[in-house]
Amino acid sequence: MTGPLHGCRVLDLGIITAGAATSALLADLGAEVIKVESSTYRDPFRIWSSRDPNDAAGGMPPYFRATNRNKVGISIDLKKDEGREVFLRLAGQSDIVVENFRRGVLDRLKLGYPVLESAKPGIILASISSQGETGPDAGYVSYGTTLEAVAGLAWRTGYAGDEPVVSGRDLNYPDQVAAIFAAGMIVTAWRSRLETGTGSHLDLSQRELTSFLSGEAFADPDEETPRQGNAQPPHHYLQECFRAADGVWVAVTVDGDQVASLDRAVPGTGAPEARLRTWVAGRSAQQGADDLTAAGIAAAVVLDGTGMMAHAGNLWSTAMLRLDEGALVKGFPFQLDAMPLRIVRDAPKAGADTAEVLARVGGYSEAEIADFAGRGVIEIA
Amino acid sequence: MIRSGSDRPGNRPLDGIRIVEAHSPDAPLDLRLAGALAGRIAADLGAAVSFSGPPPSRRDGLFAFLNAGKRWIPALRPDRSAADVAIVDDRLFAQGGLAKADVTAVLSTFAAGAPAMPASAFTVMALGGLLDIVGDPEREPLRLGGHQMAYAAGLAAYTGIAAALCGRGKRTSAEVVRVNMLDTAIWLNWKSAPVAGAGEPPPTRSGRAAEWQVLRCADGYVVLVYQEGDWAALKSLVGDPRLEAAHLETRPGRLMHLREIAAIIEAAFMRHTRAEIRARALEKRLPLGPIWSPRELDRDEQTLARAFLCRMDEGMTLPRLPVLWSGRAFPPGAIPAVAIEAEALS
Repeated sequence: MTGPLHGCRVLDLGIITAGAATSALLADLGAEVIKVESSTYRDPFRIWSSRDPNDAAGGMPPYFRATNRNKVGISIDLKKDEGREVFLRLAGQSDIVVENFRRGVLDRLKLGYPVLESAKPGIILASISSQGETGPDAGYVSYGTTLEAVAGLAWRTGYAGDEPVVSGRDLNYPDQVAAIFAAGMIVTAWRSRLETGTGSHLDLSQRELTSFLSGEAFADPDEETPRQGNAQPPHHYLQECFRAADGVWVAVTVDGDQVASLDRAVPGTGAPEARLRTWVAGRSAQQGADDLTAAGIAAAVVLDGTGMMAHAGNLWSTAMLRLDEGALVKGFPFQLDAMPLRIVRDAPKAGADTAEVLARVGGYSEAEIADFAGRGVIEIA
Repeated sequence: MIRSGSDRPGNRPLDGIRIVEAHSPDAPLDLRLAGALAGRIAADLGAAVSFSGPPPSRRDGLFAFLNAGKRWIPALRPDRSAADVAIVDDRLFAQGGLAKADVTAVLSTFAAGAPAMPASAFTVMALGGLLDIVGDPEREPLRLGGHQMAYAAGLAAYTGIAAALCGRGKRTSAEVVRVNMLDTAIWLNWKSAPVAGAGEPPPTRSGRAAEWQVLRCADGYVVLVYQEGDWAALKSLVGDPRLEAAHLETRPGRLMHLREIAAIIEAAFMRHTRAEIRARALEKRLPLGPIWSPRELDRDEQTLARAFLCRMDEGMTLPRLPVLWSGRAFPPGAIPAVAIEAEALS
């Protein structure tokens, strides 16, 4: 059984996380995703995460591999007229283009939606940007953490009564959720295209998505307390992290109907939170979490990236997967029973599939491809 | 600001799709929130979305945000309810779900087959490394504000549903979309996994020692965000000669003096408002982040220009779906009058 997007071809101009991970999800769902780079412009993930000097010469850095598996890779110089023509010929045989350039770049390349639509009526262009295509801040540049600030999330995150806190460059939370949402909108647009033949230009503002995921704060701005630490009244009676005897933290959530259970598990006088703090401090984190969950209370050891891997195949299954050669890469945030998401190939080296794609999809001859390569219009790895 | 609620255009991408959200009586709050977010997205895109269950105790902002554009039905017959898509928790699915749905999105805390144990979105974030990575190393691990874990799972559920609807006609059986919060958490936190090799120490929260951190300014806070290529522009914006010192010329050098850099930049920021810093950042193409509250965003120029916030008939303000579809917005539908309907039934 092929994936639900089988038969759909994507030209992927997406880079780093927000763009490249969006296209990766489309590939996981069965689309043919062609990652487009150039000899002068590589996905920064090819360099950012490199700890191996060989990676700068076109190797396979782990962050790039994790985010671009399941794609083929081509290299075209879009700043050259002939390179642009090659891209448009490929677009004429494609269904979707994904990009997260700075605003204005696609138009400067003369590859805006009207041009793509002329090349392929019904094409879908997904423009994933910081602030959206329009408005006074359209040119504002950002990373995920910038968006937490300007979208209202940082204002809500932090220790009670203290300054705002952001997720930081190791998580860059808004970039991660953007990929799931953008993929969802593209898939919806693809379904519309199949039903109506009509394409669309999707203007996806990461700032708006980050605000959307705080939607209730806009509905009740006067009731919203800026920062509450880990507590979440009125949804939970008590919620906090407590440090155990081994120095490891335990996360605990107690609901209103569990107070009696907490009193039995953690007896004594005084406020429940203070009692729990003393009780957890008297045992190892794992013992504390085990005893509390045995009493029916939600509790877990606070794990780092190494710790979370220990539960693979037990508590979680698809989020991170290994390629055949053993490399750990991003998996899937959901799975389908009948048409499962799959990883079928490693990430491409830059330009690895240029010749094959130009011949198969673009219909170029071997001589034309060799000529393009000789003049720097394309790059063949 | 645009008005919404009672005035919605037709001809939307999911017109004709019927979706039902249903949960077992003891479904955890966060799974309900996740399912509700997926349903809200679908409702904005034109699906006819119903949700069932007892009426909520109050129609607060959370209820309004998650249920705008939906219809409430007090009781559901799982064996008779006709829907294209069912959004359910794993306990209801184990009892048979909605028998007639072509697509069923099953929301759970952990992967199918995991041992049963009490859990919340907060404890899932602990297991997925999302608490360890946020906050100050000298203090408690910290959750992100709001209901991010549940909503991220809701996004995954929506995308899975949309994909499953695309698969109609290509498959011979009904489709089941599996979404669990822990897999979603780890997918979000993939950079903490040992993708670079088992020997690399995983990232952890670094608070005031972080390269990107929150600084004070004249009227609030600004997040200092920059990449190596931004350093010259940042120095120019700050205008303090101490940033020209030789030991700060390279990134390795700067990484050893993050507190010093933060103190210099914060002193400069304290002379300017967030609006002034925003304008300078825009001019110099720097990714600095002035921190705005939801209340302030109500009057934000970018928000207004894109009509992102919608004034509902009930006086509440809700964000529209964060996409413009060939220039077209999909504002939220009316907030269901559950309390009134519940009273009429009693």
